[in-house]
Amino acid sequence: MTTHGTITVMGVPARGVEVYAVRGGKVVAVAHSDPEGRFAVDVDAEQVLARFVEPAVGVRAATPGADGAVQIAVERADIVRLTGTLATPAGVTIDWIDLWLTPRLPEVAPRIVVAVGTENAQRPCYWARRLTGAGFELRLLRGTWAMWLVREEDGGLTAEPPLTLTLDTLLLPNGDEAEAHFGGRQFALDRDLQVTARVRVRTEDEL
Amino acid sequence: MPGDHPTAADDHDDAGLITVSRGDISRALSKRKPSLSELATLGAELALGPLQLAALLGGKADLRLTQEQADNLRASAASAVAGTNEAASDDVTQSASLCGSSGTPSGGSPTPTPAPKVASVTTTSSAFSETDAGTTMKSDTVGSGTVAIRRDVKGNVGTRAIVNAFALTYKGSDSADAHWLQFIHREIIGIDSAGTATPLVQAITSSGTRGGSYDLTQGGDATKFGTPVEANYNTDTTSSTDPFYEAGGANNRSAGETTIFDKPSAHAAVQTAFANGAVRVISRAHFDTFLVQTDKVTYHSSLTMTYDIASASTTPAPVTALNSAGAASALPGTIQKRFHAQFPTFNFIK
Repeated sequence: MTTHGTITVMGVPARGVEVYAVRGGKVVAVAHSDPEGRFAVDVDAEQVLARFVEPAVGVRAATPGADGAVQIAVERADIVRLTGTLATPAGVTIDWIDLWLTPRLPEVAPRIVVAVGTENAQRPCYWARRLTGAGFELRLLRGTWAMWLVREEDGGLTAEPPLTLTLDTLLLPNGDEAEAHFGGRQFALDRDLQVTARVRVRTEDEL
Repeated sequence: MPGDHPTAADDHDDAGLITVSRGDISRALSKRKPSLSELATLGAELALGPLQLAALLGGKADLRLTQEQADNLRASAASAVAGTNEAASDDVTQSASLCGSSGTPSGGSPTPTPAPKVASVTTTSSAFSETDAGTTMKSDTVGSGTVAIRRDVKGNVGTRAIVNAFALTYKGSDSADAHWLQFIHREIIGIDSAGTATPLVQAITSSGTRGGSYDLTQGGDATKFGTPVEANYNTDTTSSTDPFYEAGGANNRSAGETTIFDKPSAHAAVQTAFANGAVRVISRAHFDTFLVQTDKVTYHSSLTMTYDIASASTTPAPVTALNSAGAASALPGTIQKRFHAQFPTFNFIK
């Protein structure tokens, strides 16, 4: 059976969106939507993931109907803005730091979200950007997100190790800290959000 | 330091040559005790054949230099012995004596030994202060020297206390021309509750090396190493111009030996593997380390440092295993391609 469908963003067919067809807890096929937003894969998928990077970053999942058809629509209200300011330790100047973001979907296993297509491989995160300034501003799809900030350089053993940084705290607008999540932070993004990401130097034996 | 002009020991003959007596040569050699590699280098500068060199070393001949040879010798000697013999007030006579030796003459051919392209290192360093020598995994004879590979070395680099480092040492009278060329490739593998192993795909940012990053190796699992391709290897140096580990990595060098020390981290990406469903993560750093002597690869060590991580909150001690080690004559093809791409000016090292 063929799994097929249409992807729209704000009512307009979305072209070039990567689609994962999932069956048995694995990605079994990958397709990209055509200029009319249509896609089709020659498998009987249990779940379909549409993986967006434009005009917003995020993942949407849907279950195909009995006929294999599925519609995925992102509306304007699904897109929110995340604005972040980096707070650095005294005396530390950051030349770059990697921002890693992964959406957490209740109905999708994390390993599927970060899978590298049908390969037996996964990425550390869904989306990454190397920051070279004091902050960031992104358009993301509404939902729960995990965030990491990582600066790590591989190199020889030296008396002065390269600057190694990690996300320490993520302050939400109400003053609360986002919950700790495997060296990063996890938070609900349900509206436009302005956060402060405080980074710290990672100790040598810390994961 | 070498004088700007010939001293009284020099004698200009009728043909315009500068003559250094066999007595002066003998005295200079006994005073300076230059290494064989220094002698070979200086001999090559003067384009002296093996028989000529042997005659000079044996005190059986005077040395006659053209002005150009003498000038070349001054320049070579100045760089080779700078800082090591301040009291010697080296004149052309003494420095000229150093050019003599390349060991036992091999026959009648006067073909000169080419000077090494990788400069001899006559300076010393002591970046790593050892407090525990660890365990020797392998010792081998290489040419006229020896190689030792150790694990679980403890010590200090500056104010950093280091445990579980590995070390490679070359000892030999020709150690000034011995350099360590090291390549790293890594793999990080998440293992879920069903035992399924999934390698991480990630570009690792490196300090110094041209290219800036290298990709994690794919194809491995809990017990099997992945298969590296060219993009997985990285020349392990902190310098963008000098590929040898000693360019910035911890190393101790003295007159008769050179040792490098290293200890990789598990890498922060391990955390994300746990976040994405792994219950165990294996982070392996593989090191292919080559001894390069006078521009030639002579030895290859392959070792792996493994972090087998059962919890996202605790970093276990890494385990170092030697995969293989022994004589070598060239870099393996995949590594050679990566090396020449990252350091094209060193493509004479094959």
